[in-house]
Amino acid sequence: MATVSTGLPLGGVAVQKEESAADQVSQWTLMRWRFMQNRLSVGALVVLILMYLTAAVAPFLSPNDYNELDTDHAFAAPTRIKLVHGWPSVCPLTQTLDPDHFKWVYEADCERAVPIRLFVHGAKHRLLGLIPTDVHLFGVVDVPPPAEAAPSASKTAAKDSVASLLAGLGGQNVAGAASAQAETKAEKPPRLFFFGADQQGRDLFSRVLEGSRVSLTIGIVGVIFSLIIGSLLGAFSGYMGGVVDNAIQRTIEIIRAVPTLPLWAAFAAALPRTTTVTQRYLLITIVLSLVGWTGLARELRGKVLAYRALDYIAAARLAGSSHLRIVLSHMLPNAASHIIVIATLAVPYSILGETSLSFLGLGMLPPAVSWGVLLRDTQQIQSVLIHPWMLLPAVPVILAVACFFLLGDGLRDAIDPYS
Amino acid sequence: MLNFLIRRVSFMVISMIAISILSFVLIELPPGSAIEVKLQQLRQQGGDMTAEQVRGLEERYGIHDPIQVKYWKWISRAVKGDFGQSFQLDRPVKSLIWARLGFSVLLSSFALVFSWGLSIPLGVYSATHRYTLPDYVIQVLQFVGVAIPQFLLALLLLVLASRAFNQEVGTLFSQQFKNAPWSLPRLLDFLRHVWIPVVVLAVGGTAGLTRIMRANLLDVLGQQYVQTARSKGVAEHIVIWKHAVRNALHPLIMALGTTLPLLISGEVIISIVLNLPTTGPMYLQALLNKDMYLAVAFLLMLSLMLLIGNLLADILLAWVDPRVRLE
Amino acid sequence: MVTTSAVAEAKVSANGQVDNVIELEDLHVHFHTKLGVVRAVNGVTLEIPRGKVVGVVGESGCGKSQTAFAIMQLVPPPGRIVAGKIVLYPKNGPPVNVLRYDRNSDEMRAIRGGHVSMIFQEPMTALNPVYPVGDQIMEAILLHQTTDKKEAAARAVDILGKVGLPNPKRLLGTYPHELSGGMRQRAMIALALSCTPDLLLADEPTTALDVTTQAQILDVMRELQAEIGMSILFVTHNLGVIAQMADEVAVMYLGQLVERAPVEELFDEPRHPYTRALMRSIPHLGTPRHARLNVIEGGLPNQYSQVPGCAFHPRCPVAQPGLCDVYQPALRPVTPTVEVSCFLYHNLDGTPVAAPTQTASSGTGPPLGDALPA
Repeated sequence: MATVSTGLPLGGVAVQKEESAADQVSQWTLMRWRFMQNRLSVGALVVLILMYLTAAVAPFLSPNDYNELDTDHAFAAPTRIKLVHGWPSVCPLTQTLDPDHFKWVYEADCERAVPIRLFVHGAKHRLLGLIPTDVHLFGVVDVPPPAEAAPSASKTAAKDSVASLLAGLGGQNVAGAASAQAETKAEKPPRLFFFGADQQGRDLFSRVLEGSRVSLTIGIVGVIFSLIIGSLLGAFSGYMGGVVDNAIQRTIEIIRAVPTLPLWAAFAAALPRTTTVTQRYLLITIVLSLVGWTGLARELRGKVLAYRALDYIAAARLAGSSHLRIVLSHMLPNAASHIIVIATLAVPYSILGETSLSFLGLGMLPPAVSWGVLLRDTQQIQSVLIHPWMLLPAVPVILAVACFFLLGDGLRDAIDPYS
Repeated sequence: MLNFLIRRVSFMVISMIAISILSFVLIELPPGSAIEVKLQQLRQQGGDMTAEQVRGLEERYGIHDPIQVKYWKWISRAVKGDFGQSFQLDRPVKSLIWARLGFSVLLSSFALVFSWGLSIPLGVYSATHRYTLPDYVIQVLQFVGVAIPQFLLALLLLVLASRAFNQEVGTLFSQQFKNAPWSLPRLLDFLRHVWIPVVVLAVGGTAGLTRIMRANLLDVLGQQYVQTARSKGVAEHIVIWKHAVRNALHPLIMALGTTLPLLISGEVIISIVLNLPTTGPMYLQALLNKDMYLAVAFLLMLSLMLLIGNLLADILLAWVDPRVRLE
Repeated sequence: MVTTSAVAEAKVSANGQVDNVIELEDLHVHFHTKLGVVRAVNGVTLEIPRGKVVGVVGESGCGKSQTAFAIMQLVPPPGRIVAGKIVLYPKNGPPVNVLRYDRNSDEMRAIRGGHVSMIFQEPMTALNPVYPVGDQIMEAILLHQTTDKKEAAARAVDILGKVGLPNPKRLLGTYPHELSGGMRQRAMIALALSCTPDLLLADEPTTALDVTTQAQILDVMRELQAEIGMSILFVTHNLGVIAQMADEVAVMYLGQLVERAPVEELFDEPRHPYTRALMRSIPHLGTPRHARLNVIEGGLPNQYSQVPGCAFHPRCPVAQPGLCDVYQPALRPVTPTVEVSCFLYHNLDGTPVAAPTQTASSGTGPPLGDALPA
């Protein structure tokens, strides 16, 4: 016996311990373990969480009011940040019209650079929609101290003389325009445009932040609607079989026989155009989910068909459970992990759908701001060629969509490592 | 097989009827359609001639009829190829849609061939060189390809093409060929222009299909019959291309069911961005102007395109996989 | 080639006039994974006599299948043959050192299917579903035997008939999914034997079949083995099948051979403690109804770890501390026909233990009986 007990601890005990640990953890814990091993998906999840947090406090993070018009900065390029005394600062811009190309030309004056400050007071907003405040995380204070006014004026004069010198060499008009601009615009405060400004001089960065609130949530809300319709219809379709199943399945097939985007477009075009932003938002989510539920219902039906053959469902039926109860409390919870995966993978399509529709002018409409609405400005290709930063709102779209795909992939591998 | 075909075709007919009702109702619903605008115009003009015209139009399109009568009037002409009138453009719908639909089909087919031609070798390479640098590169590109909205890709390529290649984009023909009859130079000119939309259209599909191909091939390569083939002394490239890829094609063809709608949707949106003479821009205009007969015709034809594509996919599947033929 | 034949001669002369079809020498197959190295085959030395059936038994994961795959150089990645020698002696032609060839070389492919072929556990998935059975058999024949398609077809019909499939001509155009499991395994055997190999590797060929079919398949294999005069390496965990099929048996544990014996001797008198435990774990007719089945105590150690000393010592009821957990016993002859790797039978220096008959008297000898917990 002694030999046995000294021999066993090496392998036997260790193995037994592992087994018992595996017995005790729940299915969800196992999934979480497997998911955490997939670095790319975890990274995607982190990025998504950051994006949603950003959207939640968008006004706080925006240096400018997203709707503030500023014709002095129409199509201003992304602001270059200069380090002045080791602190990031913004150089004020002066606007002139280039008469040869009919475009605004901006000149930075870094002598008068203004530092970017933290926790500045700006436009009023409600933090998280609750706390009224006018504090923004960062921004530039637009009150130049009066003491500096004099030197800056003299600098303007100096620049003026340079301009007239240039005028003597060539373009009389340009110089005239430049000096006129310099006189009237010299005292304009500097603005911070990370992503540049649009045609009306609105800060694109702040608009992208504001747009994320619509674009990021519309995908999720749309999928939630799809989920409700899809999981109920799908589950019942699979569970009931027969006529019900047939009817639902044929409906799904017919809806899927219409190309998605044209169908969305037709739905969206049928919506009344005179609605509030909130109404429009809801209507668009409904349009997205009217098509979106079909995929979910399909997948779920397959799952339920598989479950239906299992003994515990038969047991529940024999015990007198109603159909509704069997579907709701026996089948759907079992399919929950699958539903989550399918839903996660449906979100990016929803986001792309909203973006595409808004881009076409059929989704969210101005004054609402979403990434698609912002990208609508890129339809004038000539404008994009001159102001390429107008394409920047596409970056968060790609990022969000790619992250959702990665996340969905990771979740799928986690719940079903063998498929 | 014949039974299967009959079933599929009859389902197609039923689908088309359902889609026609759906789209008719959808486009009929909102007030302020193009036909009402047109009637308004005619009424304002006044005179006997127009009063008669107004009555004729009202009768023909059933303006005062209930919707089912309206639908019936429309559908009974539509099956004969008369889709009514575009009131915005003042021309019969059938004179507007066919040429554009033709280019749409052409564009989508090119893109499909392109993405298959690219995704199969890429997927095979990715799967057979798993965890190597090229495999990672291909995988990252896939995610980008799937995640990038097609209209954006079209825009980017547009910018690139006009900057780097100095090529005029946003058309399928150069100016001198725009309305010329088909000829070899015109064809060459067409091919020179068509690559941008084809590439844009193919990227999303290629990314998705490469992913599917890679996953399937990995799956298939783990199957016993692949080892069997190797154990017979079959050379590795034949093992992969003859024994493994053929089996991995099955899900790829099944994926056509999701590839085709994306392709057609993509074709619509990038045509709008690139302003190509295909269905997209005109469909959008028709929707925005509530030019209902034109919009319905396009929606129907796009759906028909998809249904025929799915049917072809099913036939292809039966050809590739003997197990399907039995059913 | 020169070196391989030199090796072959040495082996033959050492063993007298033994005619082996293949000889494995100190074969090591490692799987390099992220978590560590799995030593699936850890120094296996094994000869297969021409025209004989050698059964390899052991628990799942003991490396028996990988040994077979190694002979074909078809160890699936990340597995690699890291050391060892495999010498094949074809019926006609000089001996070949298999591992000298690249796994994808023409020479290796000539060996696969031509001299050595293989059948697998799952007949349902071993045939390619998208090609007719005939095409798959003809592919092998066309690779190794003839380039004439008509002749290949004739040979395929011939071999399909030999494995007992009805209407072989029609079968040529039949797809695998139209056949039952038993028929598929017959077709698979036909495929494997179509080029009259010297050696057939059978990796649990009957495990997935029901018992009746299993018996039929074994009969077919036995018959054709005699007819073609080939050898079979029969890998299984089913001792019943081994008893029916094998001439000789090799018992594997954790990538090593622990015992080799002619089949009757092994069943009459299992010597290695693992073999004995394995034999005891078979339920017998006449066991009391509610008696607990005998299991081998303990579990397999972590696959990434290396057990010092004898691989079986943590589970061995008669392990000798200070000996078995330190030194690794080698496979040494106990009788002229039986080899065992255990310190019960030979000492550390290789000399036989003084009274081998005492410990090896029977499967339920005194030392074992005392040590095993009830």
